[in-house]
Amino acid sequence: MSNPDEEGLRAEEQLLSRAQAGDQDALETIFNTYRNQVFSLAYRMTGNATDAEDLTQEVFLQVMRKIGSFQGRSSFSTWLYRVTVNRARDYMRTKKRNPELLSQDGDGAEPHEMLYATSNGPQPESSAIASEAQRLVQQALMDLPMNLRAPLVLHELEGLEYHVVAHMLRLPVGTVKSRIFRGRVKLAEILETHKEQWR
Amino acid sequence: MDCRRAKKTLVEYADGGLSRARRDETGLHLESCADCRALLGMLEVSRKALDKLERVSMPGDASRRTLSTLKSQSASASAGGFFRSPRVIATAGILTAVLVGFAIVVGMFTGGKVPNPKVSQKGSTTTPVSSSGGAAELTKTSVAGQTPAPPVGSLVMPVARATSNNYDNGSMKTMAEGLDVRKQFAQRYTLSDAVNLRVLFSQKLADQFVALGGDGPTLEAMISYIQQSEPVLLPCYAERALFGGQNVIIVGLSGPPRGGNSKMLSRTEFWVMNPEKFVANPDSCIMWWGQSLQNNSK
Repeated sequence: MSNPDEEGLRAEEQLLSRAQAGDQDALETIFNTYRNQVFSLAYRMTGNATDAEDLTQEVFLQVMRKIGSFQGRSSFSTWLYRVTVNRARDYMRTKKRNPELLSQDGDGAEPHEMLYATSNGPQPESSAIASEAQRLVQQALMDLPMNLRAPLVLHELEGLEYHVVAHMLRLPVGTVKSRIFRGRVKLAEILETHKEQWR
Repeated sequence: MDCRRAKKTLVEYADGGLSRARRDETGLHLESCADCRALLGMLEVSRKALDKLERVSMPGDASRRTLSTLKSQSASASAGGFFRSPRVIATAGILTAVLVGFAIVVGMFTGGKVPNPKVSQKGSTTTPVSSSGGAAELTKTSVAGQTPAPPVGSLVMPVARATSNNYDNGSMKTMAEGLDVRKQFAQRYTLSDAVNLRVLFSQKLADQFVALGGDGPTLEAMISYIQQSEPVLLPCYAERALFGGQNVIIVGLSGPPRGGNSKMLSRTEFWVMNPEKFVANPDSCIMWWGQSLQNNSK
């Protein structure tokens, strides 16, 4: 007898196979199911909605191309997180060295074009502008080096367990914990200069 | 408990995630350690700050744009979708190798002519025959026969160099654009070759690098680090040089163009990395990055 989890996995596998074979409906279902997960992570990693959109597109294009290499050892969602983090790291390295190749947002440009909170479901775009506090915290996050930002975002914002983050980033669990500790201390140091504004 | 151990529990202490016993133990240390109390204060500040960030959703217009691009790419790829699967490519590669190997053996026993395949095969050794114009061309020799069989194909091998060049942004671009091996890889190799050869070429490049007095293991680690984010990249070039007066290792890797249907390795990425910083923190060692695209159209 199969349990509901197994049935869900089988349904997901079938959906992935159909998407791989070019089924547009399956592709759309996958995109609609996971787009916010990918976009949100991309946004937290890049700090910029335009870059996050580009990155989301790149991730799903890569998923389309490499869906055959997904072997089901982790959940599709975890695999998608890994693809997104790897693409984001690549993207940010590229941007750091060759900003002209990517979006027109310079490193010093305003990085927060928009934020859409989803805690209560989709919200009208006009009412979802980020607060000043959120803007400052996101800015501080962007000031962290990528090796601290990635584990911090995955654990603290995406809610992934330490061992999942470690698997995803191919790091020992102890290193992940240590980077999260350092990342949080550094974040507090950065925010200290703006404490009246964000608290 | 000392500070080193206390630091390992402080994040969970600040977030309220410790067991009672460990919480008490950490609390006891905190009472007597001002430094750890200061760190705890900072962790509490960052907890508050991070709690302000919520998951963001993709704006509607961005979703529509992205979905439209995905659908158009999917439609153009669906005709050849089966043949794009890595598993199918790998299976096809193994079958090709078996068939070619069988043909070679039959050819040797019957005295017939040996086929001349264009793709690389496993189970063969290589012998350098020339090293001019940048890339060394190797002739493949069957391992099955005691007498070397006639050449059955050629590989363009990666190139390592040690120079005293002191590059800047402009001269790096010029070097990358003019590099012969980059163009030869673009014309010779495909995506499936990259899958089959990437480990071998990484080792070959490291061996050459060591022979030139370079640090082979670090070069291999750098290639592996780059391939973490994009595994289908075939190492084609390494140079020990200077960049802005700092010792660097330049790594060139060829891959298929992004967003296109071509499987030829016509895109070459160049990474300029500081080996000392790489050991401490790979993410902070990259001094320059660029890519060159080769137009293979005839």
